[in-house]
Amino acid sequence: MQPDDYSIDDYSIYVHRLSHRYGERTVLKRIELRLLPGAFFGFLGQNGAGKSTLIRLLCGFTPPMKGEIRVAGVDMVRDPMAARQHIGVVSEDVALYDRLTGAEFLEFAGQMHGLSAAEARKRASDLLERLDLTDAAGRAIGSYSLGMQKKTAFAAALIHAPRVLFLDEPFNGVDAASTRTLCALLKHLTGERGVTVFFTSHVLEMAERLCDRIAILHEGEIQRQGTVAELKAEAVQQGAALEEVFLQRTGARIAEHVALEWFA
Amino acid sequence: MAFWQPVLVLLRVRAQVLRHKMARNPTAFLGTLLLVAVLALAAFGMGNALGVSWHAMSDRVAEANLQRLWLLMQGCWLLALLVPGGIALLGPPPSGAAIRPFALRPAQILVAGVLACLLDVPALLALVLTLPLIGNLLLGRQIGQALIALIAFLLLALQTGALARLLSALGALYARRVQRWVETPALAVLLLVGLCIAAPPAFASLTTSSGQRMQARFAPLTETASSRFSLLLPSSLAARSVSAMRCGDYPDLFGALGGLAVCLGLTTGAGLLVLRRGDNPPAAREGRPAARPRTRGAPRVWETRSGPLPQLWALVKTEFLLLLRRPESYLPLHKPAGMFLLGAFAFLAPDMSKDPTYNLKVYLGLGAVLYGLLWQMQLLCNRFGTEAGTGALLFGFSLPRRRLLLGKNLALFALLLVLDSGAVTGMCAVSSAVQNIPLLLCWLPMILLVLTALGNIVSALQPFAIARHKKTGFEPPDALSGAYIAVGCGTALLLAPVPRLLALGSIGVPAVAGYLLALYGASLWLAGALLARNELKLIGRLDGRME
Repeated sequence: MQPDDYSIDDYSIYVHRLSHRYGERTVLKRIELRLLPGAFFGFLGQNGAGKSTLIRLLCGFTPPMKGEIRVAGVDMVRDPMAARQHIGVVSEDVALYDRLTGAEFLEFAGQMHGLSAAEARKRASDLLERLDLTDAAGRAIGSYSLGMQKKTAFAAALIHAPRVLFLDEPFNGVDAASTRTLCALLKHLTGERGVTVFFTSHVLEMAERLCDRIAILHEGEIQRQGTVAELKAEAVQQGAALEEVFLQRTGARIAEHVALEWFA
Repeated sequence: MAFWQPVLVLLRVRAQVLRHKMARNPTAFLGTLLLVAVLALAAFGMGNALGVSWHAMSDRVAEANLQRLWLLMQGCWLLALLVPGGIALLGPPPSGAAIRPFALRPAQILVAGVLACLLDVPALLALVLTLPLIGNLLLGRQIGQALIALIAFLLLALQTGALARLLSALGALYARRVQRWVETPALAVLLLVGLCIAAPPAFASLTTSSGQRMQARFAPLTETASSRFSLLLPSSLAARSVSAMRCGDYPDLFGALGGLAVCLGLTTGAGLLVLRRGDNPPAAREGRPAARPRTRGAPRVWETRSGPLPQLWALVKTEFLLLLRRPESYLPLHKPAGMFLLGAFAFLAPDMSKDPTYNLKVYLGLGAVLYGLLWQMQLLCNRFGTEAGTGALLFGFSLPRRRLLLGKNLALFALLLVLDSGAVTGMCAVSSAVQNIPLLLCWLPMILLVLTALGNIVSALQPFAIARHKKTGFEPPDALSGAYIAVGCGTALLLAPVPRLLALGSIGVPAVAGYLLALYGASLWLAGALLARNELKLIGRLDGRME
């Protein structure tokens, strides 16, 4: 079946003619997205391109000016509460309670999602073990490194077994070992559990490694969307590396004069 | 100059922070100034009373009274410096993490800290306390005594600054290890140590000769009481130096001043040691074996999904933990503690004359209560305001908003009830009004319930973050001070029917309970409706994004 052969409810993320403004500034223009369950979708763009705004709209934290958003078959604008039961979010600035221990925070998150105390505790313990956080589970989150905090945020986003995961720059500041662990987990979730992952980044290599499909966002508009193979083929045709295509599509300016004369 | 330049920069930075604080919240600054004015009057009265009667006292009595005064001064000074958000305007020293990148020596950090202590408001109050004595000595042409008193005061001031910096650094070390704030145990230790030193004159007359019963107030000293332990206190050494000058005992004079200098040196040395230790935090924190998650037995009654009660309990439990642990919460909880202690000291202070400024202690006590209430309003009227960057997290859960508010209310209500009951009981005890305790303890839960109810509505109508430690650029409007006053007046109005209901006889208590619960229920319903309308604005403000 082609993507257009599916009905709206078949998609885990359905976005139609989405636009949004902050004051006079248009940050997103007529965004169209259709993602099936199990998709690993990367949304790339430079800083300030609108990626985080899009995630906020998709998570229901801001109502869009125009357009339709459905997540896990639920209209996000009309019934955000019902939609949020099916999503997990890891935001760019990890929002965690610094003064709770890792175990306490995960149990809290599980219970807030409606799990019983016993089930929340069991899943928290399982996630802590999978993410190699068992030794730190009794320490306050404020004492964690950034990588550990991101892993904790991941665990909190997964504890209620969501159908859709929204990850906003999830690997910024994360060490290689933690990144590898998280990538393996995400691959397992999309490949074997049918979870849809919507992932934003400004790092192309990450997206190339993980994603099935990529969209490049620039000035609020999707410049190019397709599978990784399609984008790579386009790059080869142009005689450039994929990175060059990305930089070209996003209108990135590279500074030419970088010398600091006063530096000894 | 190489040593002093960073020191001056550190001082300038703290002054800049103070300027920003004053600009951001002029109302709070004005409140602090008013409090300082009241305290200055009381301090002047105490110092003047001693100065005026100095010549009439014998040498030993004069020394005992001066020692008591300076012990009280040093205790209050330390309290004011160490209690967060008190009358010390320059605030705490910059954190180790903030200044670690710069090549600063521990001595420079310590000197900057001591100088900041000497330039802050509590130092001004200490000066106001001491200057009347020095002035009276000068007027009585006792130039030598006046000079020695000034030198002793300066040494004592430096020692207090160094001690405050040492305690602050120790607290930071401890807090870093255990991820808990240390002000409460520090205050408790300070108070306990003060009360346990039964020998020095300042506290000796708290007990009567027959048994060890505490008295709320004590009379001016006419005889001395001392012990060998108290002789080595810095305040005792400082007082002895002045007394020795009065007697013309120069060996004793230089011995006392030398001892005071040694105290200063020891405190400074200890401070340097602790600061150096703070520069090299133990790496063991990463490798230290941490507690494993507690393993429990088989799952209990609920299997996977839970009903509303367990969800509510999880919220109450977590909110309670956060209230006790978050820095954004402990200011509103600790400020009252500091003010209550200052108020208690005012009642315990020596009643050395008929000076009318001593009548201020009643107002000081009342002021401490209102001050504490005003600070607790921050928590009551900002139920979501402590989230500080986690608004999206909290509202990301698909939890009914009224249940969310109820859980938060339960946790805060329980905590404030315990804290305020203790404060009310303590204030009644020190002000010899023990008979008022039962009545006040009955009114307290009713007052807190109505405050909570009104606070819910303010929280939903005008949400903002109390403190921002991640994103800056959004500050609460000044109009919230007006909201707090309105909430206070509203509480008084809503509680007005309670005495009439109680007068109904046997049905009075159930009637009052029903009335108050109905009030609270109405506030919860209304706040829930307002939250549904304002939720997105709330998330935006809590997460620092203005849209």
